[in-house]
Amino acid sequence: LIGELVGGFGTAFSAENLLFVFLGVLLGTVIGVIPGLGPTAGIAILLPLTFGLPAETAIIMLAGVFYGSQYGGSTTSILLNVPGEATSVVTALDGHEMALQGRGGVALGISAIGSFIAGTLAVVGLMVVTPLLVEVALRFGPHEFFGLMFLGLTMVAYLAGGSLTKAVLMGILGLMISTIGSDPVTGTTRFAFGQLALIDGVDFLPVVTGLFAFSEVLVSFTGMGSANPIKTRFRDLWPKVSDLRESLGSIFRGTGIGFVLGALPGAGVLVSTFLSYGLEKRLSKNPEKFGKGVIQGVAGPESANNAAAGSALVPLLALGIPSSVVTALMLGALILHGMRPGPGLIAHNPEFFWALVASLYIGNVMLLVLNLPLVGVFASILRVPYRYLWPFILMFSLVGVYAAGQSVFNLGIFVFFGLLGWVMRINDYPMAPLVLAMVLGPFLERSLGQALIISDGNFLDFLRRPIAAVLLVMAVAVIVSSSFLTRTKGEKGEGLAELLEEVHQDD
Amino acid sequence: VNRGGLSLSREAVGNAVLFLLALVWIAASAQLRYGSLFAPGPAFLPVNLGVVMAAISGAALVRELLKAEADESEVHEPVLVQDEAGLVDGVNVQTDPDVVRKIVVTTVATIAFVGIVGPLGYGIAMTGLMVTYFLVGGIGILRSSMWAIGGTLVSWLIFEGLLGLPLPGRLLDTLIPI
Repeated sequence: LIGELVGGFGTAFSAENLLFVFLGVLLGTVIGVIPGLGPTAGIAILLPLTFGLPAETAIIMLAGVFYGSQYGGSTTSILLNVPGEATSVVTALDGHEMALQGRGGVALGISAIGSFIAGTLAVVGLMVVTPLLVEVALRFGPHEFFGLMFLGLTMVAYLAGGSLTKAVLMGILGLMISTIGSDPVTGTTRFAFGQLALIDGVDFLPVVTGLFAFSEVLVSFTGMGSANPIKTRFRDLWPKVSDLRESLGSIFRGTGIGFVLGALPGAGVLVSTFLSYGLEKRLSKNPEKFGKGVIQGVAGPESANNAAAGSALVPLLALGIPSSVVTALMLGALILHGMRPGPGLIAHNPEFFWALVASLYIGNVMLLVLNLPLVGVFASILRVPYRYLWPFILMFSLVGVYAAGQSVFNLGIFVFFGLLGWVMRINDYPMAPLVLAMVLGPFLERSLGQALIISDGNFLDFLRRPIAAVLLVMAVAVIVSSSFLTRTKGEKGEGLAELLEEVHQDD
Repeated sequence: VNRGGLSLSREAVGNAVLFLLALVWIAASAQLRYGSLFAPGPAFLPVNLGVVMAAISGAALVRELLKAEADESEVHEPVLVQDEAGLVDGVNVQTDPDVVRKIVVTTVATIAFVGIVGPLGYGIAMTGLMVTYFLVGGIGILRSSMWAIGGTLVSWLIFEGLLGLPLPGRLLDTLIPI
C-alpha cells in the first residue's frame, strides 16, 4: 500500500499534475462561491478544458473542482447567508449567525480546518476501501453487473427530493436517451433518424451542460443582482483553542457520517450535512443555541460534506457506479478520456488510482493554504453583478460543447436540453435521475443482454447467483422503502426545506 | 391549463406529454427487431422502457384527471397559493414581461448562433451572441461590445490557441472578408 502510494505521489508531483490540482481547487472554490453554479454545472462547463490532458490529470483536476466547490459554497453561506450550493445550506444556519456576531472569520477558519481533516481522512478511507471492493467486484459476471447497475438506478428514488413518480419517469427518459445510437449487443443503429451524429448516441456533454448550465441561466432571470458579503480579516480566521476543542468531536463525527453516506448511491453529500447537523444538535447540552451561532453547527456539516465528496469516489472507482450527478459527470469524463470504468479500471491502471489518491491529499493541503488567506478575494467574487457572469457561463458552455465533439449538431442538442431542463425545473421534475440513467443505461443494457444470452433467457438465473440476488433484493428494498417514505410524507413537498425544518425544530 | 371548461393541471399536462412520448417511442421501436428473452434484439430494452413509461405516466394522468374532476365538484372559485416571490409550485405566475423577454431573446439568440456559427465562423457569431447576451442583461451597447469582443478573443485563445481544439472558421478567416 505504502509503496504504491509513494509511486502515486511521484506521478502527482509532476509539474503538470500539480498545476491542474491547483487549478481544480481554485476554480472549484470560485464555482462554489457563485450561487446557483454548483459542482455539477461547474464540472460540466470545465470538462472541455481537460481535453488534450492525460486521463489521470483530467480526473485529478475535476476531483479538485468537486471538493473545492464544497468549501467555496461555505464562504457564501457564512458571509452572506446565501449557500453557493445545496450542500452548504445547513452551514448557513449557524455560520451566518456567527458572522453577524462578528465571528465570521472563526466560522470560516473552522470550516477550512474541518474540511481539511475530513477530506484527508476520507482519502485514507478511499485508499483502504476501494481496492478491497475491487477484489470482490472482479468476480462479477454480467448477472452481478446487471444487479449492480439496477441497484444504482433504483437509487434515483432517493435522488428524487420530491415526487417519486417524476423521478422514476425521468430515470426512464434517461434510459431511453441512452438507447439512441448503436445497440451495445448487436451493433444495430437505433433512433438515429438519418443523423450521422446520432449513430454513436447522444453525446453526454451537450446534454449535461444544457440541463445544468443553460437552464440555470434561464431560471436565474427571475432574480438577478449582486450581494455585499460581511467583511472579515485574515487574523480573525484562526479559531481559538477553545473553539478547536469544542469543534473537534463534531469534525470527527461529521467525517464519519459523510464518509459512510457519501459512498452510498443516492444518499450522498447533501443528506450527510443534514444528518450531521441533527446529530450535533442532539448531542449538544444546549440544543436551543443551534441556529444562533454555534460552532459545532458549522464544524459538523462542513466536515461531513467534504468527507462525502471524497468517499463518493469509492463506488465510482471500484465499481464504475456513480453515486450522484457529480460523480456521474466524472464517470462521463473517464469515458471521454478513453478509460473503461468498472472494477478493471484500478486493476488495469493502478498508477491512475494511486496518482489520484496522492493528488487528493495534495489538493486538500492546497485547499487549506489557498482558502485561509484568500477568503476575502473569493467573497469579493460575489460583488460581480450576475449580468456580467451569465454571458460568460453560456459562452464557455457553448464553446466547450463544440470543441468536445467538433459538431454544430451538439450545439443544437445543448439548446434542446437546456430548454428541456428549464421546463423540468419549473415543473419540479428532477434532473439527477435523468443524467444518472443516461450514464448507466449502456452498461445496464449490455450486462442484461449478455446475462440473458448466457442463461438462455432464464430470469431465474439472476436469483440463483447469490451476489446478483442480494443486489436485486436490495434494489427492490430501495424501491419499496422510498415508495413507503413518499406515501408517509405525501407525494409532494417533503423536500429539503421540510427536512431542514425538522432539523431546526427537532428536540 | 383551462380551455373552455376543460381544466388540466400542469402535472396532468406533463404526464400527457410523457405518455405521448412513450407511444411514439414504442412506435419507432417497432421498426427494430425485438428478439426474445433468449436473444434480446435492439428493440428489446426500448420497447420495454416505452411500455413502462406509458404505464406509469398513463396511470399518473388518470389519477390527475380524477383528482381534477373531484376538485372541480368541490371548489367553485380558483385559488392560487403564491409565495413571496409570486411563485406557484416553483413557476413565476406573475409573468413579468421583462423576465419573459430575457428568456425569449436569450433562447432565440442562442438558436440563431447555432445556425450561423458554421457559415460565419466562431469570431463573428460568438461576438454577436455575446453582445446580445450583455444587452439582455441591461448593459450599454458600447460596454457590451467591448466585453463581447474581449470574451470571444479570450475563449478563442484558450480553446484554439492553448488547448488546440479547432473552432468553426478561424477568427482571422472570418474577419478578412470585412
